[in-house]
Amino acid sequence: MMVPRIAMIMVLSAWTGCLDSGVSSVDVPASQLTIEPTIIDADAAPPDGMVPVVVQFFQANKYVKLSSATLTIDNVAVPYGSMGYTARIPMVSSGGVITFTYTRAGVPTSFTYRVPPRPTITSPTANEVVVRSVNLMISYASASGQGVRPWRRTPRSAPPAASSPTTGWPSST
Amino acid sequence: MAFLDVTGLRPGGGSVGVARRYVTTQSGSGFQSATVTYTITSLPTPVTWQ
Repeated sequence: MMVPRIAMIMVLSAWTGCLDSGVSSVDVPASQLTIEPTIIDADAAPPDGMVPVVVQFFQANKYVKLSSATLTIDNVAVPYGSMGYTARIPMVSSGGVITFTYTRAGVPTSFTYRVPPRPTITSPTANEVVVRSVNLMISYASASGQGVRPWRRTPRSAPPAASSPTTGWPSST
Repeated sequence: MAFLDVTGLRPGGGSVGVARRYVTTQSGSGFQSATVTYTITSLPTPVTWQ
């Protein structure tokens, strides 16, 4: 049983090393970098009060890592890993701001991002009896956004339905 | 609004929710470009599948 686990760790380590070895380290001003933070706020009340963030940097469309500069998000240091700069930061409520700070040679470059509103479902309503249809309409209080992904749950005892789609971006308005 | 195929679910208690993805390009960030992708989900709405 231990052998496969060790083998898996070795494979993952080698894979991570391969990914990392192809990434260039750069030491340039923020003005020469593209920064792309991705934040997943999938739980309105996470047990630890944190949300995951991944930040990637690009220079001339090439994925890079920072050789000496540092990144903080809301004063949380963000280390570099195989997926980019990743951290869990304290959750910020809708309307609040998240501050990203890139510091190079003691010079900080910061920008803020305002957390968007959490969607609120208006239909179906809580505890409603819903017919299992091909096109269940889900309405929600809206703000501008690029896409919406509905999801549904059944009791844990229910086996997954092979024919039931669980992913994809359905039509939305 | 969004549409979801729920024909494969079993009758009984469950819930529905939505996740919205916001992609925002920040101007005047000090970077050459800054694009934030923020995915945020609704609270689950409990329902009974019939």
